[in-house]
Amino acid sequence: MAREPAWRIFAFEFNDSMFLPKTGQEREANYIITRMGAKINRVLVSGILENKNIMNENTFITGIVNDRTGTFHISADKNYSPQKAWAFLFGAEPPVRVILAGKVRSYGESKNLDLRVESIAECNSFVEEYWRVRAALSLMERIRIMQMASTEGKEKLLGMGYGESYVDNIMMALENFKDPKIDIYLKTVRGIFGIKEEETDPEAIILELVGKLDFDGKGARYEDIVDNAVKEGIERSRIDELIDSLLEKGLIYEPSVNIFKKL
Amino acid sequence: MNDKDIERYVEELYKQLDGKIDRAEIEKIFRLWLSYNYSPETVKEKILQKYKPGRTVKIGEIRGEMKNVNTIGKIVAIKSNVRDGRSTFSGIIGDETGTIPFTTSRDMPFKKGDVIRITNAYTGYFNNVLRLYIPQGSGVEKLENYNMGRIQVTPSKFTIDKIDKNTRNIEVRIKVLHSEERETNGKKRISGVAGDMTGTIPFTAWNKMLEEGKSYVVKGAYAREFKGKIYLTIDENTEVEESGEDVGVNINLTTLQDAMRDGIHIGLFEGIFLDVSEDTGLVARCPVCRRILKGTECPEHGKVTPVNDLIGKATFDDGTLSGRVIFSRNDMEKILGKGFDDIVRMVVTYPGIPVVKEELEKRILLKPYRILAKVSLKEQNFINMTPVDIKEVGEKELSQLKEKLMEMM
Repeated sequence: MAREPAWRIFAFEFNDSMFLPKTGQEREANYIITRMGAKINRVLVSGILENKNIMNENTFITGIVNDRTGTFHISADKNYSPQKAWAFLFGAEPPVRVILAGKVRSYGESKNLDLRVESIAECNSFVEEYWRVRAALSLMERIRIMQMASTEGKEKLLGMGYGESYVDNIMMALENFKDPKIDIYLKTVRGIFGIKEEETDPEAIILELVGKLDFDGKGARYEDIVDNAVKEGIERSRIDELIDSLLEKGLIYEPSVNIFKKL
Repeated sequence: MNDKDIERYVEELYKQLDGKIDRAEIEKIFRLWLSYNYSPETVKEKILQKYKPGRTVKIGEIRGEMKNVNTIGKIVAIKSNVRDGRSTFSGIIGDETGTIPFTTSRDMPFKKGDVIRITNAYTGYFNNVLRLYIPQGSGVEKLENYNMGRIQVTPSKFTIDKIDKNTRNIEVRIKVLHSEERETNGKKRISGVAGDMTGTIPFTAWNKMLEEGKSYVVKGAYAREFKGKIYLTIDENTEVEESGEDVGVNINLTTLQDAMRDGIHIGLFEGIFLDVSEDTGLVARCPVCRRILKGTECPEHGKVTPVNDLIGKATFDDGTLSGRVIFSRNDMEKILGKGFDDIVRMVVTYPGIPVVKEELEKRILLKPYRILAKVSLKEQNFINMTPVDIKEVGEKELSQLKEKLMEMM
């Protein structure tokens, strides 16, 4: 077996995952599969170590690392974790910016998701930013493939040269999570880099509707405007206010009661 | 162009003009032409054409657009083309100094292997290739029993991406990214990897010096296919000249996964060092076979006086796979920013502490790096990486990645 690669992955995707059932082999590794189809044993993450607890008579440490999309629960064991990683966590005083590699593990009866730290160090904001860009690149690639998988199917992906086990993971995620929620993922990853979704001005929508719903040249009916505006996602209670504002600005007028016309 | 070079050209011209014009006059004309930004070779041609018309030039001397070209060459290839009822001939002629394609509307009752004298031809570019045009008013005659040496085929210029498995007579400008010296049957063989702006290619060079990090102009090399890979072969007849200017190398980032899938031998990888091995530090090597020794006895060479060396081993992970990077003494000195003696002193000062490992950890652990490395797959999917160049990821690299990300979003 090749050494498991360390996935650069955001906390919100990491936590939006499920454990893969074990097949019963000896020394079997833990794997999670995320909604975007990443089959993960090891991760590389960066963020702020927000708090830590030293437990069990100084033999176990848990902590929380926040990458600004969510949190990773991390842990280290004095007897099993690498000395260097243990020593760092033992001495760390949160908050501290860290980069760490760890393996996925479940803990407790509710099988909570946890990261067993293998290697950890304090890092500067450049390294954190680098990690964030890398994690985003990796996620964008998965989103792209997931989009294809949900519309085109498995054969198409195989035909494009993606490896079979890779494609199998994608299909498994699709099957288990049903909805890939691509829009939410895209919005989240764009949000990390300050890219705002373009929100259309609701007034502009109403104005456009007034023009569009003017079927006979006499004007658009109030009821039609309301119905269509609600379909466009504008709250019913705001519509009167928006129409009033357009009237005030002189962009529309009211030739007869509850009939509106564009100027 | 310094005075010494000019003096050399003047002396050459003086000899070629049989001393008909004195050196001072030649130098004056030479400097005049140079002042108009002509290359010295062109100036030489211009002067020869003016003062020695009708002289026979070697084909290798034909450079750029020239008039009144007189030359002697052997026909390497010839064919007739009929278009609109008119027949033209085209082919290639050559001599010991080079070859040139020719075109003519004259009758050419010759065959391959004939040696011909051409007078009053001219040259010009067609499709960026210099050709010899033999007009109606020129002279063409066959020379019987002319003793012509081995034809030197003029190499054509290539970039690495254009080199195919059957390409011969390659002229290419390369930078040596990696080279290793070996000896086979008393012949010195250098194998390595070279690159230019279009890609990389492995090469084998026989009895030639090609140093890592230096740029060269290679003329007359050929390509050879071995185990599905194309190698640039530089043999004893290949001309290798160190290039005055550095050849830029452009290697696209790749991933370990893609490299393994495509069987790539060298690549530029970006990733993070997750672990520095306990094996990092000073080692003793057998002076003969370079094997790392546990004591003073080599299993092959018996009792030896070991030589000191320094190695580092680290796990490099690029998110797709991980590899074991083996740093040489040079790499270690570069990364630690210390000379070998300083490192030895450090080890002696803190006995029992793996200071070299700790120093290496301080520099590279959990930090992003780009490494140009040779990769090889060991058993059980274990990837060995030998660095050629190593560089910490900086602002420039990060902004490249950001650009790529913005495109994807």
